[in-house]
Amino acid sequence: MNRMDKEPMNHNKSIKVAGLLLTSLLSLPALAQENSVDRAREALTRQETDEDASKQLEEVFQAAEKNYSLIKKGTYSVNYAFDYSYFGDQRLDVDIINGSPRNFDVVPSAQHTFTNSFNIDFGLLDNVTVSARVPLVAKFETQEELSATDFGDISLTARWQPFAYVPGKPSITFFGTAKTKTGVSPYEIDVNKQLSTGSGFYSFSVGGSFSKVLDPVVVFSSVSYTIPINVSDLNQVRGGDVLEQVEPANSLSVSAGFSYALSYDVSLSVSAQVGYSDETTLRFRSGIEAQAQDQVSGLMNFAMGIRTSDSTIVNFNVGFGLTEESPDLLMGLSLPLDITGLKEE
Amino acid sequence: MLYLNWIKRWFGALCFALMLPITAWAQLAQDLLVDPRALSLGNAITADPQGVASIHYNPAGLAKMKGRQFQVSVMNILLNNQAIFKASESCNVFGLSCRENDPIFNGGDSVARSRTISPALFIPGFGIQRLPKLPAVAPFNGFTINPPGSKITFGNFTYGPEILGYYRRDGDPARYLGKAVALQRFSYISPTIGYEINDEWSVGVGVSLSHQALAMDTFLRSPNLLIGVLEELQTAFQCETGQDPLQPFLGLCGGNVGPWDDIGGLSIKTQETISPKLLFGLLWEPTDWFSWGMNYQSPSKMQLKGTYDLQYTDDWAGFWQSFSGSLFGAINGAIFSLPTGIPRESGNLSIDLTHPQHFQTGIKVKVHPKFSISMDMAWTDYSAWDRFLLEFDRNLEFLGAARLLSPNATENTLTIPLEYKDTWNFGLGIEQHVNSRLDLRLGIQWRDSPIPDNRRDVLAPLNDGILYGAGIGYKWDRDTVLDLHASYFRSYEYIKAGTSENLNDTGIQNIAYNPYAGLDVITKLRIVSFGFSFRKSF
Repeated sequence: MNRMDKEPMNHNKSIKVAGLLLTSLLSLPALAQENSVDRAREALTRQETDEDASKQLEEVFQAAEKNYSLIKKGTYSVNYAFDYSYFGDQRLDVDIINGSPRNFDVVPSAQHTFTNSFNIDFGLLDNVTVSARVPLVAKFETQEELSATDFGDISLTARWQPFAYVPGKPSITFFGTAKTKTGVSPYEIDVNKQLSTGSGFYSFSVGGSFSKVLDPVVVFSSVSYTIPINVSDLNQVRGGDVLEQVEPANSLSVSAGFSYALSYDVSLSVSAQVGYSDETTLRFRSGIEAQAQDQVSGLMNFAMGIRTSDSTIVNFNVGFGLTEESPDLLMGLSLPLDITGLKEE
Repeated sequence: MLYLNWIKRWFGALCFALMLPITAWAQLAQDLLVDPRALSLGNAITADPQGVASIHYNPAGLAKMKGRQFQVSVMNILLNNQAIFKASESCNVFGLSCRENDPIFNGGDSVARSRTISPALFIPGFGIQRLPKLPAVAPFNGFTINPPGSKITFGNFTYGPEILGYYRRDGDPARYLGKAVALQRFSYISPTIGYEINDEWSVGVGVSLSHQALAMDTFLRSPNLLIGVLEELQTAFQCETGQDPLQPFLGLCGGNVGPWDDIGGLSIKTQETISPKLLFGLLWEPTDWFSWGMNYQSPSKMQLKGTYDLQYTDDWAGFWQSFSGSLFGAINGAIFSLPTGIPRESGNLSIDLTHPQHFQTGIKVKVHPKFSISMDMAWTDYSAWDRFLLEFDRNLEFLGAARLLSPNATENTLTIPLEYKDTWNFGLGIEQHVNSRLDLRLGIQWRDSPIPDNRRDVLAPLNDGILYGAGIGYKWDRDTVLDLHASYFRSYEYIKAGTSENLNDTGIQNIAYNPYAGLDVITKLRIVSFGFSFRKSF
């Protein structure tokens, strides 16, 4: 079998945290605080749409052989990724009634999130690939001893490469993603007793990713814009009020970095990401409208790819947040799953 | 010599049977519709698991699956769920006769019958769905892969280990304990590995991920002494004339309330989308006529999440609005957190629930070249279901009043005591090997209920029962196996008035929840299932 046929199995899209959006807790009334933290957590979940480091690593490996960075028509590939993120912060719990603070508390909080995700890519055409991502999330909040194990938000992505790859020229891929709200919504739980595993709203993202091979280095960048769908008919107790509507913020995410092939078997990559999100509006039953201000957040990520066999590259990554609301630590592992037994031999 | 051999085999089987504890044999909805072959043998297949259902019954059985195989099963279920309510002459609440006042008796009858054959299914995002009055169809499937020459077999099974749901018609007398109920567990993926250690021993380990749902719609009423007092007061002050003689000091006539008047309706929908379980199995086949197997499934701690919606009747809300609007009512209502008459309460809810661990062991003895006998005993840790703790996201009026009378309620939590006990059940299966292709099967399983006498109800009517099964196994060709089965489960319970604290107790503090206080109740459940499984190499 030539390498072209095996190549689809190598397309990992994983290990990456992108598009961080956040909230400034102090600028909000107490009611919105829980939500802003939730927003933060949501934002910290990976945006799988971005052209990511591990994918670029593979391009380094196979720069000479590739015409398309997507998979071939009619083929499919399954990838598994495991991600861990740690998020620790101090939360201010302030209750302001008639302009005077009634309750003031500083709450330390630590959250561990383990995400197992399965990504299925299918080559619709030689230059169009559709994929589905199914995340299974386990979350632990150490401070309040909460835990959750549930599905995350399942998402569907289509990637399109308008031009065939020409050595020496940049490669461009456009993508669009629809994210469902199959995970546990942060707006439909009892915030004191449960954790969410999803965003709680549908969203659509569009973007493009660009890469250029400068042997032995690949430089890459990606930009994406996310438009969420408003959520209404909520009935959630937050503080002393009931949350009824959420208008999540639009957000923009930019990332850039490079990968460097140390040898045929090992490569390293470094990337940085910056996210900007607009205002989020929460509407309560009492008529109060709370707004989380716009934010900027950033993240650094380092990845190493190791070739374990001709057709398999395992990627490891470690990252850290650059801004207050980003996760303090990220770790991940991704590898292709090859259930050869299921295929006709 | 030959006779001696047969005697030895019979003796072995007999010894095992005598060792079994002569206690109650038990189970809830467990194993009522997993695999046609298992059902036809009374679920006694731990020592001889076959097909992908091994993943559920004994993962070590996967090691015997060679090559690549695919299995589809279709189970059809016919449900007949009955409850009979009987009011004795003396049944009364604060002097008001049950027969004359309880609307389920149509004004004077002494017997009311509830019957449903409509199955219901919980569908994520939609809630409880009523299915047509036809046999409900449950399709399961799975596959196994064993690379040539390897001792390891990988398998996956997608199935419903426990599915129970029904929908009662409008006006059904049992509507106060479940107008519609769905309690179901569906394992959507269960990757498992079987390993053949040597010719005698095999072992299997796997993980199953399941979706668990618990949903219920029910009407509410409270035939309680205190409500009886209210009814008598309303009669005494002639509320039916439309006047409220004691206003503005005391409002008693805002709406008609009484022991048998509806308070409202409650709808609960909760689910957990990932509930993992560890599966472990061992299989020992020292000779061609004897085998032993064991199977363990770990407990799974869940936090079911979902919504509740409590909608009160106009009479109930009106009564409390009028009451709390009066001078006396306002003062006392505040002191005792009595309801203020909100017409509807809804929000988010969580229920902590542990799916119990399960252990099963059994033997299979080929007592004659044409006959095999298999025997299983199974233990399930239902004592993990000591209580259901319902945690609401806000303070409920309903609970505010209930907590005055019951230690099980606080302003935002409600504990439903269950006090379930561990269960042992016993299965027996006989297989006749007619020829190399055809097997005939008969089986029986004694299933005792984990529900103690004082907690029986008509909501989950799976009381003590017996499962009968019969089936055929046919080897179509070298690569194809077909199993057919028919099974019948029946359960009957007579619950004398005042004996169950979750159904018909008459104590004053039982405000949550005895909707049939003082009535004798008989429950009858029959489940007929028939189905087939088809296994083929691919």
